[in-house]
Amino acid sequence: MSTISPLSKIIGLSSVLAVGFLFIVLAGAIFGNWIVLFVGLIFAVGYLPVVATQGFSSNGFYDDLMNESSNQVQDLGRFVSSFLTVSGLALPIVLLHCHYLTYTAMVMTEVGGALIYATVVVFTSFFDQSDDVNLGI
Amino acid sequence: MDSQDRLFRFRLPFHLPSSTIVRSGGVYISGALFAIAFWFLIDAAIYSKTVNASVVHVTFIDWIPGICSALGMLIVTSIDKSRLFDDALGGGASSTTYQARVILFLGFSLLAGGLAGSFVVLIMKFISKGYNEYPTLGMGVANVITNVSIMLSCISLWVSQSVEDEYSYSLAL
Repeated sequence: MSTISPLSKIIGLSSVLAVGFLFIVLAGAIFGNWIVLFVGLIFAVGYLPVVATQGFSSNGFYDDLMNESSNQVQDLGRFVSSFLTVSGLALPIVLLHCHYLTYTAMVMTEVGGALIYATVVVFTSFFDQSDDVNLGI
Repeated sequence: MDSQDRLFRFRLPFHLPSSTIVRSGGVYISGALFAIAFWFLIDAAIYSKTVNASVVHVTFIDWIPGICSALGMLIVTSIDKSRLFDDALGGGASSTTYQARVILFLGFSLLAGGLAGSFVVLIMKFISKGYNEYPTLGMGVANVITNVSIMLSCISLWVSQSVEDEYSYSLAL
């Protein structure tokens, strides 16, 4: 893991992100229905509530005596993030069921959205690791 | 793994998950179930508008059970659960405990009413009028799935938050 330099990690992640957006834009362009861009948007912001509420867990250290409110905030972040992710998965299926999309466009949108989501998750964990290294843990 | 850590006589092939993992997993499952419920409702509405060939359409009647269930879930999850069980400390139910229980009863009534209402809509609007074929019946079934999912989502959220309460209590001792 540490043999890969951070620069090549960033380059690889950005190319995966570009491939994900390529799938979604192709699904919109070939079949002439640009509503699939919303799916890409939902997948792109889907993991962000967890990231935004992680800061409430007492400076990154695992603390057993977290107060009640920070747990509630983290739960809200997890709930919203899970809601957005399943929405991103479900929206193409709904559009397929209602004949807005073809089957091929649905599959391309799902694959592109999964790539975008995986990029965001891996990128976030990458930054968490570098934070831990800076703290000397 | 030490022998003192074992719970059963035989060795489990997996570790029982810790309470923090159970808690976060329960919250994730709750959000996923709520999204499934939401999108089943939206799917029934869009399907009724676009490719529905029958004379039955989704109207505001079909939305009422889902709205009741969502309101019930909002009420149930926003109750502070430590208010419900403080009998042992105060020696009898205080007025706050009583109010919390009344509000909680309202929330559960809304949840159960939403579930029952979805069955009423399915039976009165679809089955009893003879619309038993599947593409039409699917709009009523989606309504039932919506309300069942919201109820399961609420149960999952409640259980995962109760797990955390016991966990912090044992740590405080």
